[in-house]
Amino acid sequence: MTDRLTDRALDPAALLDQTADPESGALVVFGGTVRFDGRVQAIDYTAYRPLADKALREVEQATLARFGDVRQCRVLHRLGRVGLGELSVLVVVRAGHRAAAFEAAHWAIDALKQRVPVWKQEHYADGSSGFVEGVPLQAADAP
Amino acid sequence: MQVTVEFFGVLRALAGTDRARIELPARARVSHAYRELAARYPDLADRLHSTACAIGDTLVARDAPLADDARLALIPPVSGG
Repeated sequence: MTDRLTDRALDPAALLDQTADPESGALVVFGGTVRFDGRVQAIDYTAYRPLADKALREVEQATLARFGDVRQCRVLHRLGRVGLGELSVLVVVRAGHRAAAFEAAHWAIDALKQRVPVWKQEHYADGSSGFVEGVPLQAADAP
Repeated sequence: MQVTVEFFGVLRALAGTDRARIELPARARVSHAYRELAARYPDLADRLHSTACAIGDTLVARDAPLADDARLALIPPVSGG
């Protein structure tokens, strides 16, 4: 099983293999990639690993609990320097049917953005860098 | 007692270090650590109200008691995903 936090390039194919499920009829993959906004050249992701790993696991479990038709949910985040167009985050959901798969993948990435202690530092063409503003960490059992 | 504080995200840049050892009175709580950090690192002070903290893999409340030699991770607003 792939580590949830890794400094290697994220591999969607591996996650598809690991979640293979003949009783699922729907597969949704969400990938977040580093976007060029006119200034960003790369993003450096850091994490507080002990809690980040646990929080990613909790997002997976919460997704499974919330969407009854969902049978598999994996969420991975890349750490370290990530270049333009590269994946920083990957969500894979398999469900019996597509409605739950789409909804669950959306829910999972939104939950990750609030619950996982990861920080994004943008690097710009002029050599400067800056931390993105962020949202206060939300505990897993918060509404 | 002494606790180790680990800085993450923008706090690391503002503190100029990734960790610090601070001296606290016996039976201090997380809130005392925050007060000490605000005094020692004034550039961080206005960020602390939106900064959570954890010991190991568990978030701790401001009124949580601290043990001698605890390691407190300071978690500023997050921006993963």
